[in-house]
Amino acid sequence: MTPIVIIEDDEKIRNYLVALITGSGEFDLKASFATVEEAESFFREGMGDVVELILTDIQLPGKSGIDFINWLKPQRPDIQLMVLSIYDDADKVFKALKAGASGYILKNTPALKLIESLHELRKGGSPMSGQIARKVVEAFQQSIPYTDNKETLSAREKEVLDWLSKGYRYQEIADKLFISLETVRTHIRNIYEKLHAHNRSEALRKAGLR
Amino acid sequence: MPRCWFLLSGFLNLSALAQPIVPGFETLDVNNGLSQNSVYSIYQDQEGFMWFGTADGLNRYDGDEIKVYKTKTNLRIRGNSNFIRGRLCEDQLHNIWFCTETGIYYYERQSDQVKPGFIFPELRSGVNYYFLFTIDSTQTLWLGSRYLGVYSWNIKTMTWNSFPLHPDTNTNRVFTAEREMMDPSGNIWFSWYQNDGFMRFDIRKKIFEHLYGGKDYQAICFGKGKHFLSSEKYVYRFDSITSKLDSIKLEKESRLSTTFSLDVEDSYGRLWGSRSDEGLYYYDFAAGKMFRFRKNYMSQKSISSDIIRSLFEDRSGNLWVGTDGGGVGRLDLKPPLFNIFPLFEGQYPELKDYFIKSLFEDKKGRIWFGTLNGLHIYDPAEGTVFNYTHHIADTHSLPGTSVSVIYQDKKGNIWIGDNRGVAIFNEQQGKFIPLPVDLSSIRHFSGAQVNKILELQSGDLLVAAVGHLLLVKQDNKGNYYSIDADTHKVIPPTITDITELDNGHIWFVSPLGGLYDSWMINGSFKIGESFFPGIDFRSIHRDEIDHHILWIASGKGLIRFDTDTRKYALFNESNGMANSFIYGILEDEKNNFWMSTNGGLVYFDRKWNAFKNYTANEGLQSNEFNTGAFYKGESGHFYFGGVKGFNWFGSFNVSEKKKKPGIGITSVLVENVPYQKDSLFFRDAPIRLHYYQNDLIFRLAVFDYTRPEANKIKYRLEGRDDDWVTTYNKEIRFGKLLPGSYTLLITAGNNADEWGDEKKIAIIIQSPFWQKTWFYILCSALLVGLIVFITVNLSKRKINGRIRLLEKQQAIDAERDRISKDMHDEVGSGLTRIALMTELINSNQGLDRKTRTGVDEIAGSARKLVDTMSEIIWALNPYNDKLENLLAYLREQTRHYFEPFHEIDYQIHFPDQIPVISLSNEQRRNIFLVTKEALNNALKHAGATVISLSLCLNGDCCDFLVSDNGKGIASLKSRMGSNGLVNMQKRITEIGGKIEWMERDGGGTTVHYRICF
Repeated sequence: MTPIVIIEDDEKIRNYLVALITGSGEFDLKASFATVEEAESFFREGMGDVVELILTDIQLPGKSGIDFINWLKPQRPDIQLMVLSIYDDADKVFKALKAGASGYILKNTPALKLIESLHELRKGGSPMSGQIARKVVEAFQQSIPYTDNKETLSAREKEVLDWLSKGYRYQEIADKLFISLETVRTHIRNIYEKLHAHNRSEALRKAGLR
Repeated sequence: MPRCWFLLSGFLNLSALAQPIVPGFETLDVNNGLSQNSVYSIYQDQEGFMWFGTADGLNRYDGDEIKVYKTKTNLRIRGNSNFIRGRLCEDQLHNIWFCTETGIYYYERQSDQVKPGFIFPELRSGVNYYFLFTIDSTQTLWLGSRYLGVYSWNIKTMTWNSFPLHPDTNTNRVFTAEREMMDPSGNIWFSWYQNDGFMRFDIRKKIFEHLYGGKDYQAICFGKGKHFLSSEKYVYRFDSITSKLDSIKLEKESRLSTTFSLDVEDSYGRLWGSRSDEGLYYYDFAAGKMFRFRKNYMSQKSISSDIIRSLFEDRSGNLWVGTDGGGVGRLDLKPPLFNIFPLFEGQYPELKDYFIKSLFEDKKGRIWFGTLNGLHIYDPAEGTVFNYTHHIADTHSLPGTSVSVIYQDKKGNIWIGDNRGVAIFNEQQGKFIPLPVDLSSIRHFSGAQVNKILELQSGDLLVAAVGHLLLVKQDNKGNYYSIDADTHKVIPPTITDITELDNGHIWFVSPLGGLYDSWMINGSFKIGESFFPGIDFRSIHRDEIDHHILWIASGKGLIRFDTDTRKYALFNESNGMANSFIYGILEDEKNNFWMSTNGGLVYFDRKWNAFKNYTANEGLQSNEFNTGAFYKGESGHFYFGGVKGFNWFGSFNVSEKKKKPGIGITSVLVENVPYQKDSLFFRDAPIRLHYYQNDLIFRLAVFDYTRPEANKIKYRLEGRDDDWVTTYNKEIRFGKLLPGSYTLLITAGNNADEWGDEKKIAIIIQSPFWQKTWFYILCSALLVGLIVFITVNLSKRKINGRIRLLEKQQAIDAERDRISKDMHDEVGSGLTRIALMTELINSNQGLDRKTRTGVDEIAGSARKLVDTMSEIIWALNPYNDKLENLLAYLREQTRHYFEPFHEIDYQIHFPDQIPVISLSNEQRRNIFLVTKEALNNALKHAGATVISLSLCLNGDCCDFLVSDNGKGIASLKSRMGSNGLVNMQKRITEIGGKIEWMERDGGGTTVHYRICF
C-alpha cells in the first residue's frame, strides 16, 4: 500500500477522492489538505516522511500547487507528485511538470480509470500528450550553455519526443522505433527527470548561481 | 626801310651753352585750392606728397588736388596758430612737424589730422617768432628765434630746452638774417648783423660759434660736398673735398647791392637764390652767368611774385618756388626734351599767328621761321624776334604775306618764297629783292604760292610754285632771271617737294600726280615713270646712305621707294606710328628719322623698325605739324613747325637718367565713406571688408610734378579683371565686388612715359557667414540631421503606433483568452463536480437500475461537456495556431476516441512534412469539429469497419478526407438527418472552405472538405 496525501480545496471533490482512494485498498491515505500551507506544515513537522505519492490540485487558495511542488521537490526528490487538473491544458500542466510533477490526472476521469491512472503513474509517469511534448521540446531548445548530460536530451529521447509532439501514441512510437512499449515509457520517464533538472538549473541560473 | 623788332621781356642772358631751362612757371595759388598765397616752406615727404606751409595753414599737394590742414584755434589762443614759420620736418613715423606762432604742431599720418605737439611757453611774434629748422636722428626738433637763440624739443620725451644767444658784449650786435641756413651736419647758421660772417650753432655741442667774420659775406648755402658764399661782387664756391675756394666775379649787371640769400644748389649744379623782393636768381657755373626771373604781368608762365620765401627741389627734378602773395610756382629744372617757341600763346603779341610754314637755321644759330603773316628771325640766346612783313608802300618789303620757303643757296643768298613769288633777302639792309619774272613766258604768276626752291647740281635754282615751275639762272652780270622750266607742260601742277639724285634725275612729288621721275634735256623736262597717282605727298627725303632710296612723306604714311628697283614699302599707324599723315622727314646721325605728323613727332628707329611717338604732352607746340615746316640745321639741330609754333632740339637727351614716378593712395572710400587715411598702413595689412561693403573708390596720386596733367596710372585688380587698365584718371572705382580675396596692382607713369614700381594692395571681402564654407557644411549637416531626425521620429511613431495597435490587439486577445479560460475553469470544475457527485450517488448500492442509468447519463453528459470545454480551450490557445499542432491534436483525440472500438480499423494518413501554415481560432475549431462529426458519422451511422482520416496538401489548400467502407450516402442522410450535414456545411463555409460527400468505389462514403489559405 502506497502512502499518499491529497491537496484539494473543493470539499466535495476532496471527499470523493478520499473515498475513492481509501476504498481502492491499494493506497494508504495519510492526510488530506485543503491548502498548501496545511500540507507544508505537515511535512515540516516530519509527518510526511513516509509519503511516497502526492496528489495535488493546481489552483488552490493561498499558495498554488506549483508553489508546493517547487517547495517540496528539492527536499524530497523521491516523492512522486501528481497534479490534478480539469483539462489537460498544456500550459498549466507543463508548469507543474517543469516544477517537478511526474504527471497529471484529469479530475474528470471516471473513478475506476482514476485508480488505474494512479497505478500507471507510479510505473512510468503520466502519458505525455502531444501538446506537452511540444512544450518539453521548446523548453530544451532554450538550453543554457554549459549544461551537462544530465540535463540534455539524448538522440533517442529527442526522437520519442518528436513523435509524441505529432500526436502518436506510445504503442505507435514503439512500433515505429522497433522498441518495446516499456522502453518508450522509460524514455518518457527520463525525459521528465531531465526536465526537472533542466528547470532547476535554469532557476539557479536566473538566481545567478550558475 | 622800317624794321620792326620787339624786345622779349622776362628773360635775361639765357645762353645756349648753359643748361637750358624752359622758363615757364606753373603756379598754384588760392585759385587752385591753396590755403593762402604766402608760402614760407616747401617739403616733399618720403612718400612723395608736396607740402606747403603758408601763413594760414598747411597744404598737401598730390599732383591733382590740394588738401588743407589747419590747427584748431579759438579766441583765447593768442597768436596765429596757422602761420607756419620755418621748415617742415618729417619724423620716423612719417608725421610732418611744423611750428607756428603758438606752438609746435604735427600732421599725423595715421589719422590724417593736425594735432598740437607743444605750445610755446611765451608768445613770440613779430621778428622774434620761432621757426623750425630741422629734426635730428634723436627725434629732437630744433627751432630758432631771431636775436634770441636756438631751442630744442624732443618728440619722445617732450622736453623743451633753450640755448639763448646773448648779444655780443663788445659790439652789442645781434644776428639777423633773411633766411637761416642749415649745413649737412645739421648745424644752424645765422647771418650776423651787417654781414659780419655767420653764427653757427653746433647742435651736438650745443654752442654758438662766430665764423667767417670780417669778410663781407652776405649769404651762405650748402650743397653736396661744397658750400657757397656770396658777397656783393663775388660768388664763392668752396669744395670741402679739395678745400678749394673758387671765386667768381659777378658782372656788373649781376651785382647785387642788397643782401642776397642763397638757398639751393640744384642737381644740375645751379645755385639758386633770391633777393628780398627782386625775384629769383640762379647762378649757372657752366655758363658762368647769373640769371634772373622776375614777375611779368604779360606772361602766364612767369614767376608769380618777385618776393621769394622758399625754394625746394623735388625728386622729379622740379624747383618749387614759394612766394609771398603769389602762391607757389613750379619750374622744371630738367633739360627739356624739346625746346619750344613760343613758350605760351600770348608771348609775342606782335606775331599775328604761329602757323609755321617754313624754318631755317642760320650760321649764328638764329632760327628763321615763316608764318602766314611774315618772316621772323628768332634768337634763342637773346630771346628776341625780328619780324618782316609786307608793306604795300614799301617795294622792298616782303613781297607776300605767307612765307612758305626760306632757302639759302651755296653762295649764301637767302631766298624767300611766299605767296607772291620769290625774293632774295638782304638782312643787312633789311631789303627784299623780288625775282624778276618774265611774264611772257609764264602762264600766270599772281597768287602763286611757292612750295619749294632747290639748287640743282648745275647751279641753277628750281622753283616750284602752284601752277608752274621756274628755273632761275644767273647771267654774266650776276643778275638773276627766271625761265619756265616746263615748256612742254609735262610736269603736273602743285608740286610739294623736289629732290635731285646723283644721276641727275629729278624726282617730284605732287599730291595730284604722284611721284615723278624726270630729267632735263636741253633746258626742259622729260618725264619718266610716275608712281602712286593721287596720293597726298608732302615731302621727299633722300636717304643719306643709299642715295637711290627715297623716303616719301605722305598722308598715308612713310613710303620707302627704291628708284632703281621701283620697289616700295609702306610704314604707317599699323607699324606703331602715332599718326600716318607725315609732313617732313629729317635724318639724324644714326640714320634714323624724325618725322612730323598730325599726331606729333615720330622717331623711326630703322635698326629695330620701331617707332617712338612724342605728343604735345612731351612739350611739343601741338600735335599738328605743317607741310614744309621742317629743317635740319648745320648745328645738328632739328626744327619742326606746326600750327602753334615750332620745336627744336639737338642731340636728343636720351641719356638723361629717367626718374621713375612713385604712386600713392590719397584716400580709399568704401561705400563713399573714408576707410583709412594712411596709405602706409595698407602696405602691411589688407583691407578687410564685410560682404556688404563692396563699392570701393581709390584716389591715387602720381608723384611726379613735372607735368602732372600727363601723369597716368595703370591698374589691375587681380581676382576680377585680367587686363591692365591705363588711364589719366586718378580715381579708380570698383563696384559690387563679390566676396573673396583680391590684389590691386597700381603703377604710375609720368609725362616721359617712365613707369614706376608696382604697388600692391590686398583686399579681402569677407563673405557673409551664410556664404562661408563652414556655414554650408553646418547647414548641410543640420539638414541631414534634420532629415534623419524626422525620418527616425516618423518611423518610430509609426512603429509605436503599430506596436500599440498590436499590443491593444494582444491585450484584447489576452483578455479574451483569460476570460474564456476563467469561464471554462469555472464551468469545467462545476461539471466535474456534477460527474463526481453522480458517482457518489451511484456508489450507493440501494439505487435501482433505472435511477442508476439516469444518474449515469447525467455523469456522461457532464463529462462530455467537460471534454467539449477542453476542446474549446485547446482551440483558443494561440500557441496551437499551426497546422502541425492541429494535426497532432487530431491524431491524439481521434485515436483516443476510437480506442474502445477494437473492431474498427482506424487509420490516419497525414503527410510527414507539414508546411508552416497558421490557422485562426475559428479555422482550427471548425476543422476539428467537422472531422469529429465525420468520424462520428462513419462510426455510428455507416456501420463501417475501416475508417480513415487523411490529408492531402495541394499548394495552398488542405484537402481532408474521411472515408469509410460502410453504407453509402443515402443511408447517411437518412440517419444523420439533414441538420447534421447542414451544420457541417455551415462550419466549412464559415471558414471559406468547401465540403462534399462522395460515394466511394467499393461502397462507403468519403467526406471531402477543402480549405485554402
